[in-house]
Amino acid sequence: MSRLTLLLLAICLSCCGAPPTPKTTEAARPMRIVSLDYCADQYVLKFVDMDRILAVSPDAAEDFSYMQEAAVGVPTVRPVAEDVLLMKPDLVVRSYGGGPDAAKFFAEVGVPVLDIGWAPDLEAVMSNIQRVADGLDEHERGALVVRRMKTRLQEIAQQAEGKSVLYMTPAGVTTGPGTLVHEIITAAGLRNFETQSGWRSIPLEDLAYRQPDLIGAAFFETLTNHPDAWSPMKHPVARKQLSDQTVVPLKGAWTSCNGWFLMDAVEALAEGAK
Amino acid sequence: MTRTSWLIPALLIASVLAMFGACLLGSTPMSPARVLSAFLGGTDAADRLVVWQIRLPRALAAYLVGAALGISGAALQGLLRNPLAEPGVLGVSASASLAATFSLYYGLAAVSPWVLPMAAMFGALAATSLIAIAAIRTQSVVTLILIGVGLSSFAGAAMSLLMNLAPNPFSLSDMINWMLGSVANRSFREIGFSVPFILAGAAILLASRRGLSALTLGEEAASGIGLDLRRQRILTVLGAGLATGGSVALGGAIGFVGIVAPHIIRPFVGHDAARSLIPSAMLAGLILVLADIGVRILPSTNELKLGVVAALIGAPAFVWIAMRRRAIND
Repeated sequence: MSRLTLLLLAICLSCCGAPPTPKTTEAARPMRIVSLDYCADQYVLKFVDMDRILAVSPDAAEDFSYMQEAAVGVPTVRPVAEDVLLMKPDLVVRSYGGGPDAAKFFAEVGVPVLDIGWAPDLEAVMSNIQRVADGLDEHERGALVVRRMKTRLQEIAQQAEGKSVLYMTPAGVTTGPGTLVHEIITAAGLRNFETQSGWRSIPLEDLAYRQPDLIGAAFFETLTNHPDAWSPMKHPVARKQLSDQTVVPLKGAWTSCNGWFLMDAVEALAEGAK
Repeated sequence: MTRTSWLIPALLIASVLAMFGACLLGSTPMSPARVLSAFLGGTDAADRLVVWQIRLPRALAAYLVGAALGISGAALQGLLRNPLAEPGVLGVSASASLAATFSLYYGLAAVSPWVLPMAAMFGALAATSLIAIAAIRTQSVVTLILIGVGLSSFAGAAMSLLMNLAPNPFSLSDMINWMLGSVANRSFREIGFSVPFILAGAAILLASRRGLSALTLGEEAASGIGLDLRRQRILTVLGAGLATGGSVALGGAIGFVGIVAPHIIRPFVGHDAARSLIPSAMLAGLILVLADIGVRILPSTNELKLGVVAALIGAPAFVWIAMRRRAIND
């Protein structure tokens, strides 16, 4: 009898007396994160502690990476499915890395994929930041970044100048309405010189008839898109803009991807217009 | 007036009209009267800027590239006595394009603006020299054409390798432009860097044109009447190499125009290559200006590349000439 009582007591204790552990939360928290491209690298390096990062893409430490310093010493992996799977990640973060079928492929082998996503404007950028931070189980860090962005945007909106700005790259590309760069220009309280929508060539003939107040010169500090021998930027009419107008250098790292770093471009333009 | 005395004035008038037509096209609608006024120094400074610095250089670049290829094609056809010879078919353009891309890829072009045209020239001269050396060793023009095809394929393969190793999409797009050929956004600055080489090449070809006339009799007969064959080969190769290199530095590799123009000209001037040099240059220039007008007025999302249009016109012409030649030989 006493043996039976002891056995039942032991069963009861084992069923009811186990201490409550946050096992479910811990299991859901990704601890072996791999990012597949430059854009995903920025978010992972910003929000996640190093001990949870398995690898980032080889571009994370390049000049055009905003989180270049944080990427130093972090292992890298090419966005090749085989190489990534060998590392046994529990979360893959990507925007374009691995090609169009990557998300489907990793889902099939049971590795969750967090997509950075596309953003047409700064509102969408902020909701993206929060969504990605949540996916990385770093809600608070995401919320803090979004709060800071909103505060900075409000401060800039109060000093709106309304001047016109022409965005230029060494490859001779500018942009009109419908792109994130246009949103950056308007968020800086300025007017886009290019009125036709989308990405297009620098309007050489337009520049003969009217001039922008300001040039937003992007990517000129990097050598990544210099060599185009047919770039309209090589034309004297375009080059004259860089010598005659106020030029605001926009680092490639600020605008290569949608993220909180776009605010550096917004602030630089607003400052340059003063 | 002789049978051909009207040819050069007619080509000149057509060329001027085509260049003026090219200057009417652009993102700003301008009437012919407004363009003419801008040409003649009209009061509107912006109009003058658009016409003189944006539209005219592009049209002039197309004409110069065409003229250089036309005169080189006519001279090489005379030297090799084969109507299928031209810088594109013989791999001269592709080699020049490869050397130019190489100088860009390794950052040499950043050292001085002269490096790019010099590299293109080096590529063109290396290819033409190889063909000339082969021409000394073999009597078969078919072998020469095949060597040219081999050179062209090698340059294409090396270009593919550079594209494979391209560090970023912008470099890749630039390399593709070198292969496709274009005169978009060309200014007097780029023309200035290429023109000395094109003019030097043309001058050498014109100065040595009498030898090309002698070669119409065949190499033995030409040698018999005192032609120094070795000197003639060197001069023609040098002239064609310089002119083609200059044209590639300005507009990339544009093929077939060097075949089509001399072929159209030949019925008017006969089979004397020396007499076809200038009209071929003018006609090839005219063809490229017209092709560039076509490139700009075609309603496509991305502007077509000039070399693509030239090849679309020239490649069928090449096949037709080759088939006719076969039929004659048969």
